[in-house]
Amino acid sequence: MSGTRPRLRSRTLRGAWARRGTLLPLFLLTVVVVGGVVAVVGFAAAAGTSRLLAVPLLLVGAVAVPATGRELAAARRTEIALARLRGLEGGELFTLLLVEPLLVLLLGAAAGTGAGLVVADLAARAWVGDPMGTPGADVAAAVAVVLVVALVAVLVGMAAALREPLVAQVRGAARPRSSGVASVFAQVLAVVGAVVAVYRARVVDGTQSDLLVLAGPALIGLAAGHVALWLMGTLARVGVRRTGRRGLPAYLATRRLARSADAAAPLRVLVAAGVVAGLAVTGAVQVAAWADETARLQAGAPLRYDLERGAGGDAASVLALTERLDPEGAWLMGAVLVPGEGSVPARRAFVDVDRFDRVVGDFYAGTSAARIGGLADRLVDPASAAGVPTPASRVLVEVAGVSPREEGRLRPRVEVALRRTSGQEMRVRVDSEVGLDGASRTVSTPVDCVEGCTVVSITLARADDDRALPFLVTDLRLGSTSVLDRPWSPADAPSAAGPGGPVEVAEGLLAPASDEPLTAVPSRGEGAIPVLVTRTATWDGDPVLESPGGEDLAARVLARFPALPLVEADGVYADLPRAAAGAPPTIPAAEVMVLARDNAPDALLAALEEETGAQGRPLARVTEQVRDATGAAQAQAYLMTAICCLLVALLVLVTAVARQREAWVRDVAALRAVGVDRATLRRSTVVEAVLLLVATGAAVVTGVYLAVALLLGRLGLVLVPEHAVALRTAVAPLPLVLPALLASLVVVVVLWRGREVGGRESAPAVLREEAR
Amino acid sequence: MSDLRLSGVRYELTRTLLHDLDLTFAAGRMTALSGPSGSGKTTLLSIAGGLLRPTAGEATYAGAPMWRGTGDPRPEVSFVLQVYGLVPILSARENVSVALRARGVDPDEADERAAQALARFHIADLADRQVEELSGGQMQRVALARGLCVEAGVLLADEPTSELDEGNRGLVLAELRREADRGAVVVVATHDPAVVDACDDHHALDEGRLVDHTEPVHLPVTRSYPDPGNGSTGGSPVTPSHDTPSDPAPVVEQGGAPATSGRRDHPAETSDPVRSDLDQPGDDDPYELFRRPPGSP
Repeated sequence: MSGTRPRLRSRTLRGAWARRGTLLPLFLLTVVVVGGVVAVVGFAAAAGTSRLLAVPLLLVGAVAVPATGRELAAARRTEIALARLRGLEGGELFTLLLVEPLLVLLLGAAAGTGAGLVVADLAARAWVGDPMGTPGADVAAAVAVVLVVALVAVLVGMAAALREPLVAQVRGAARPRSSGVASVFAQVLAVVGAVVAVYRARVVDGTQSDLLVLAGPALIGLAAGHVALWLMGTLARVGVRRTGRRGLPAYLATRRLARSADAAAPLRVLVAAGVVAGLAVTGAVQVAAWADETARLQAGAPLRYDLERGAGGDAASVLALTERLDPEGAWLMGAVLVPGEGSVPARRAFVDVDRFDRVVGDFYAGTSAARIGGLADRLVDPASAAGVPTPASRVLVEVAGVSPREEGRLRPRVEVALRRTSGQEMRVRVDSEVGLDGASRTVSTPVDCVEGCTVVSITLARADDDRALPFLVTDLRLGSTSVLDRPWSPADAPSAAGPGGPVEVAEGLLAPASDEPLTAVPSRGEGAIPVLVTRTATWDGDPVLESPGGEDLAARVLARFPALPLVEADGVYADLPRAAAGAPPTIPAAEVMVLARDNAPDALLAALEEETGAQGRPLARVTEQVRDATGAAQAQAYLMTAICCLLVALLVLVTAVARQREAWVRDVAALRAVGVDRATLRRSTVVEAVLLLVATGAAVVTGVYLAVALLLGRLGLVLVPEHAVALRTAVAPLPLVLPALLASLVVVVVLWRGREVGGRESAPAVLREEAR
Repeated sequence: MSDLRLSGVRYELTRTLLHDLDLTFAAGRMTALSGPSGSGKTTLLSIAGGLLRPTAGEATYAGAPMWRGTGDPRPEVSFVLQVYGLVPILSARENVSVALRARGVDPDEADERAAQALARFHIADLADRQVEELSGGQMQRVALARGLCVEAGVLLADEPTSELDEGNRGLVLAELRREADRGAVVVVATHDPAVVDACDDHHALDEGRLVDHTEPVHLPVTRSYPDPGNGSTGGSPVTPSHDTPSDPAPVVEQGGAPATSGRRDHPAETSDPVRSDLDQPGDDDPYELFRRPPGSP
């Protein structure tokens, strides 16, 4: 016995070395699959992503390896036959056959584990900024799973060779066999699996990774590959008759496609890998776009400084701070976010809209809030400005006659009722006199409205002795705010006794001829604060805006958005000065911040930091925080899986074409021997390549389209937080076409390289017995 | 039709495989090339057909060199390769038809002629089979059908009967005779003395040199073979099987009087009234029919 084992070992090693051409692809496949799985699992440990993201790679590997097992068994047919002749069967035979691949799998697993750990560490450092750390038991378990799957796959591949009748096996060359039941079953299983995965995607909530849904893209790819190859084979068989009438290139190409469909089987793996890649690229692009949009909405501006309470941390203070540091309003903008819970309108954000354009610019371009740039101005339209408390020290009135007159005095008396922010009311009277020419006269008077006042009513009268002539109030300003920009209505309804109040005309307010004082009040509803809201915002009754201090203010909805800055997908957006004026102190839950332009002067930012003690968060930092919080790195991990799938497919295709090369050379030689020239054979390869290219491209495009449309949104690539915009998944042209082009290019290049044989290499003389 | 001439043909690889051979393969005659394995028969055929470039000398047909510089044969040349050289992606019929199509024959006509060629070798029923599904003998007959159907000026057949049973061998020889009678140069490399005997000329090779050869001696046989010309049989009919193990050859080589390599004028084709008994046409000579032009009594 002691002498037998070394002999066996030596024989096994010699056999393995002799079959290195067949074993090398198995080794490389093992390295790629183990490496990919270890990389994904290792990265998951560092980034908190799902380990299940490696599932598509396992599936593609499990489909690819049996082909290698079949090749291995075919290469050992004679050995198998001899072993069976010696009486070996069942377990003993399997053991004999499995020693060699097991050795290769173990070597491949060792190399793959090393490579995978390196990739995982590099990915973790690049994408989450941390090293991977010590590999845990999950990595070992992943390697073990891959080994078991690979071993089973090799066994499955070998099974056909072991079932072959001994009489056929000793004959030497294997006869072509149609697809076995197991192979057909596997193909049907892939199609059924794809359907089940799609159904599963419909019923899971998509917030967590689901095994079957994650395997779905690979299954859809395999199914698309099956269908495409089946269609191609069928069309080629039909075309065989038709191309019989055409030239030799098409004739030979369609026959090859019609009768060597198994040779195109690696295309299934390539299509599956292409679909996974297409989905991964689409996912990565859209998750990256989602993370960027979410970060922009959360940040509010290119640079964000969150203020602590006591460091300018309320609405009034932040407005005063920005006014002081940046009086021009070019770089800084105060903002308040009240992340109110309970209802969408309770979640509200306020910014100093006067500075919006200069500070924010096109920061929201391409996001759901892109339209805000064109609507921000309307948040501070004059009509609403007149309706909010305004700090003022004087009231200015401009009056004029409606036309020149010949006689009589006209001394208009304008009485403005004001309400301070404290709620205290007062009245201010401005007297004037209009000359006979009716020209306008401007008169002003001091007013004590330092804290801000709102105009409650305007009463127009005349001096006691004057005739009841009509006159116009063409301007009325409280401080710098034009009160007449706001719509006014008569306080009383018009009647036979009189007009009921001043009438709003184009020039201003008209005081009709009347002996009685005429009073105008703000038009109902027109003084409400304009707001922008998300589509989710609803009210019972009229819209109401809660001020930063919690006071209810009448609101007027200007527009609805899918999402708005700071509040994201749920909330209300309004102008801070108007909402904060006169409001109670900002509630403690509010987040007070200063938003800054991206190229704000360093000195200004330094002053801001010094004054507030806050550190600026640039968009990149916010994006990073969003990615960390939502697991968006999963899209990158999935991309890693897709790259490994493509590598597997490339290996399978290159190996298959390389294996077929010898037979191809003999075919070319045989055809040249009967007079078919090389140019014709080259053209037949071109025709075949074009047909395979079209089939592969169409299958990948179809697969990616279906996978993106049916599965992407349910893969759980990100955990979308409450109030954040939803991850919009849609078929994107570039990720749809790119993998198809890549797969087609791979097919053409590999086929062309594999089929490109020199004139001497394929000369008919190689068919001589001596040349074999 | 022209003769195929080899002038001073030498072929060297690591050793010299052919030594300055001067040979003429006459049009309208069947020439046998015999010799032990490795003697250079296939190499000589390859050079004669333009598949290999001789190290020295040249092979010419109709005044033009056979070597075209690419290793592809001239259109006037048709090969029946020892390894058949069939294309697995094509059916039996398509393997034959592609040779015709490569020579510009219309596809419909090519298919029809291919079917006829297969029928000549009694494998018409296998026309739509993939060649990988055929036995060795069947594949060899497909290769023969392909080689013969193009009606080339030069037909070079390498061991064309190695996989065939006795009946099919006779069939093949009859078809080769037809080619020769058409005026083609027919050269057959063979180990089979019966095939040698059926040929008009014979050259023996050993280690790349033309050597004297031994005459085959016929053993008496009682069977006769189908007349490929009309399908009728003479004597006891034996239907050739498509795929049966080869029977023992009806002839064996014996040491005997040496004969110079070269022309062998068969008695049936000469007016020499003195013929050995072994060469007498009659029921005892299984190849007698194939020495006669088709249609002759």
